Amino acid sequence: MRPGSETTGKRSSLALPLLEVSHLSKAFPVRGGLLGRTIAHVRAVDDVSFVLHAGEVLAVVGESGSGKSTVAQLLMHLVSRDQGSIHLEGASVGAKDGITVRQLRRSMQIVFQDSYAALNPRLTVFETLVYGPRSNGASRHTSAMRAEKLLDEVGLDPARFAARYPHELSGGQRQRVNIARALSLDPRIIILDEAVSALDKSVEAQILNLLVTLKRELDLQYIFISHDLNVVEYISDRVMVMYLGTVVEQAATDAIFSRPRHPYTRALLTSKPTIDPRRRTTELPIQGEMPNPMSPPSGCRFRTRCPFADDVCAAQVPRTITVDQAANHQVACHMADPLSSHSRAAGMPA
Amino acid sequence: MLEFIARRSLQAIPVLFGVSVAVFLLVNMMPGSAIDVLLPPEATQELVDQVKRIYGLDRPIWQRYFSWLLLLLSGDLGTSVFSAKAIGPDLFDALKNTLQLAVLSAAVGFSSGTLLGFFAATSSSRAVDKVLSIFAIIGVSIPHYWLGIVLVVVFSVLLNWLPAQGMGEPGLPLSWEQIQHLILPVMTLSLIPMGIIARLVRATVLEVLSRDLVPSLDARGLHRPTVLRHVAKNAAPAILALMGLQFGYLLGGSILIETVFNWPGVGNLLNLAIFRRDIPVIQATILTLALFFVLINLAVDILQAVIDARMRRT
Amino acid sequence: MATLDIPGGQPDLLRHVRRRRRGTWRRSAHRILHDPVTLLAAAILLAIFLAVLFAPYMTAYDPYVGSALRRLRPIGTPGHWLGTDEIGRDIYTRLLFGGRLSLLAGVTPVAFALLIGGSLGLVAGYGGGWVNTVIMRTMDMFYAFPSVLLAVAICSIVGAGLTNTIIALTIVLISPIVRLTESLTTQIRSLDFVLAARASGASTVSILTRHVLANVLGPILVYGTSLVGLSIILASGLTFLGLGVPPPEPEWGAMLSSLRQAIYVAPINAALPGAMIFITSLCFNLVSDGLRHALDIRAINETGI
Repeated sequence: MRPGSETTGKRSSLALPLLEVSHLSKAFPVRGGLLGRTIAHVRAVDDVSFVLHAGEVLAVVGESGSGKSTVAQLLMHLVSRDQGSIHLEGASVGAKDGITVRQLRRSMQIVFQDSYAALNPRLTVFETLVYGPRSNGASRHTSAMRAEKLLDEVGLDPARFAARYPHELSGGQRQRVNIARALSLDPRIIILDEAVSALDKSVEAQILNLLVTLKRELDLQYIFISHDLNVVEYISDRVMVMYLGTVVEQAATDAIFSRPRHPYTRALLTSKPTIDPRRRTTELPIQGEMPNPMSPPSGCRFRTRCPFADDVCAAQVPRTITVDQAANHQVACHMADPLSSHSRAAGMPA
Repeated sequence: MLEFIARRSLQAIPVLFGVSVAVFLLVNMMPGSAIDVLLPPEATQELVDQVKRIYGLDRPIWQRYFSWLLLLLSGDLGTSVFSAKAIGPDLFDALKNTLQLAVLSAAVGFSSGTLLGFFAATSSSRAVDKVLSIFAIIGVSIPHYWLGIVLVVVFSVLLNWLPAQGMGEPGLPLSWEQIQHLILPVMTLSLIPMGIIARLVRATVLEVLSRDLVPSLDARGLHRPTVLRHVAKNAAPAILALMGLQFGYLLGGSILIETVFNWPGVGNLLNLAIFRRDIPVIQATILTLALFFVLINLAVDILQAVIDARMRRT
Repeated sequence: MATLDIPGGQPDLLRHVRRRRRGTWRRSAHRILHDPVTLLAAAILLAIFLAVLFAPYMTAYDPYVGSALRRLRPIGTPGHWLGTDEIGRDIYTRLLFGGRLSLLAGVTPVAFALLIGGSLGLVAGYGGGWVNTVIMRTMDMFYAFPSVLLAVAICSIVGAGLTNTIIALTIVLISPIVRLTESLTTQIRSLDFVLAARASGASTVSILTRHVLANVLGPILVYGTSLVGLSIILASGLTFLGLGVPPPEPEWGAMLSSLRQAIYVAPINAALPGAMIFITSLCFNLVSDGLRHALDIRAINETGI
């Protein structure tokens, strides 16, 4: 079934999470107006919280503009956060008694979507791979040996590939190099920001299998950002669904796929392409377009496209409710909140 | 749209201020001041102080700047130390003469440059492209003051067809005599913008043509002129920007050509003023030219934004 | 994997990489060497440079000494193959010696401006924020002046002379270089591989040199070479106006100015110094074009040459 998920059962939800993100927020200023002042903010990420446990693959799904990539950049501290905290193994990043961003980056790395843009066109594969370790103080010898080993691990023959330039590689090969680079600093967590989205399907399958193998062999954790639900179902243990910068639902993978509670999640799943002829579209597909992120709808951001929107949805931001303790299934929806005044608050049909 | 114009215009104001400060500081830091020109070196300190007081040179520099600025804003460009006349009218006349040259040269240079570049880009013959490109690069590399001299040598000295110096009658070039005087300077001045514009037009048109846009338009059966209009719209912003810059250079760089042809324009005025250490004239002249340059760039930016909506977000 | 290891020694991989390396710079060099026009222009420049450097050995005359008897001799006069000027000095000799000054006044400002302007642009582009604003707004003020005007203005303050000309031209040239560098740096800095470099914990200096600079250097170099031609023209132009190198120094612009007086008597002679300026500037521009073509990384990557 789902490879790598053997560890899920072993972990208890009370174990200390490897990565804990709380109330992460980031708004980008929009300049305009007569004097070039800041006239509005794009609230790219708004009060996002999640945890990543040891041995887990957490998937982050959502449409374009949902804030997934911004979360990745915030985690890597490539962009500064406005609010919220990030804890790695209990230590707060950036706090005085915690760890520095530099130390965080030793434990967490990222693979980008555009495999070509992610590589310096003037450096060979070898030079790209040794750059990270060398920047962190490794000797030439050690870095070189490591580069060779990494190429082997990602399935590229060092003799053939080490001296190549990015334009001499195929998309899949480039992405393998990017993965190797991410591994070069020996991290524990790798963020994969739509890392397979730009590849051909067959290549995508190969890379996914590589990722699964690496996870097992090197004891890695992944944060897998994607919009492709089939891939997500294949590789992840937990799924977090984002919409317009907020988390609308998160749960263990099979809970999300078999018992989605949020209308957005349900709509997403409906539109997931599937080979099974028995699965027919029974629910309404999503209506409308994503609203302007500079002025998101009040209350629940999804309400303008939600077939179940009620008055309370415009008035209040929905609370995050845990609907299933065992699967750690959380939903941000008034319908799941017994205390809200939503007409369907008693609970949705499964 | 209007907002963009207003914003861009507002942005120009601090630049203008900065320019005025720069000009003022620049000029007033000149070692040999006007005093040295007016008075002999043996003049007594008392005399020097008196002269200083008359011309207001004994006040602190920021005071002098502000009083100069105030006068400027009320339209008074100061008085020439050399001729004791008001600078304004003479500068204005000289400006008209320079503008005549600049506008005509710009018109000739831009149109011929655009045509040249366009034909170089669209012609299927590589030879034509090569020749035109060579022509363009010559235009860019040639020292225009030298070209002026060469043209004078050829057309005035050797062939005696055209006058070598001066403007003839002042005012608009309506008589043959005036036009005669214009031909050589305009030829000289227009060559460089022609070369530069031709190169840019060629490169831009080639780039636009290489995009998938054009074949897809062609494939949809659009007529040639319509496709050309699309090409023009895409190529226009960069080319316009360069034209604006070039026009500015024509104005500001007029000093060399006007010296070669003894054309009574602003550049010539500046040259003389520097020679005579006539500070007020130098200030006024440089400021006027710089002002024009800033305004031209502003106009070009706005024009660019009108054509290409993407430029409006700054 | 074990087959590539040399027991106890540096891994074979390093040497293998170095050996096989056909670097992007190397490929650019390869392209240039097969471009006849650029090579010719470069050869001419080299010839001029050498001639000018070894001027005293290339001629028997003294550039400052003239003879009233031999004023304004035309081209082809025996003993003075390029004629004499209005004071009787050999033009060929003065061209050679003048070339030293003109070339110096042309190349030095560009070199300085590249150094200063390039650094400022890098800092402004990579740093962003208020650093960027301060630097770019200051540059805007300079950019508001057409180059000739600015050069004239500065020279009229600091006075004549070679050093002052170089200073003035450097200041004039810094502004466009800063603008170009800042624009390029801003583009590069948001590319994924720079983000990846930042994510790997590299220091800012390392990122700037290894990643940003390497990719920015090409266009900057191309632009710089195209500026040399302009700088020579400006320098000679300043001297022509009397603001550059004072007489009796043999500078091309000065020669042009003085020979111009005699234009009705010896027209061809008057044109000679300008021809030198033209040829030199043209060659620099041709080399610049050739460089641009050779350093075009997209074309290199696509054709694989």
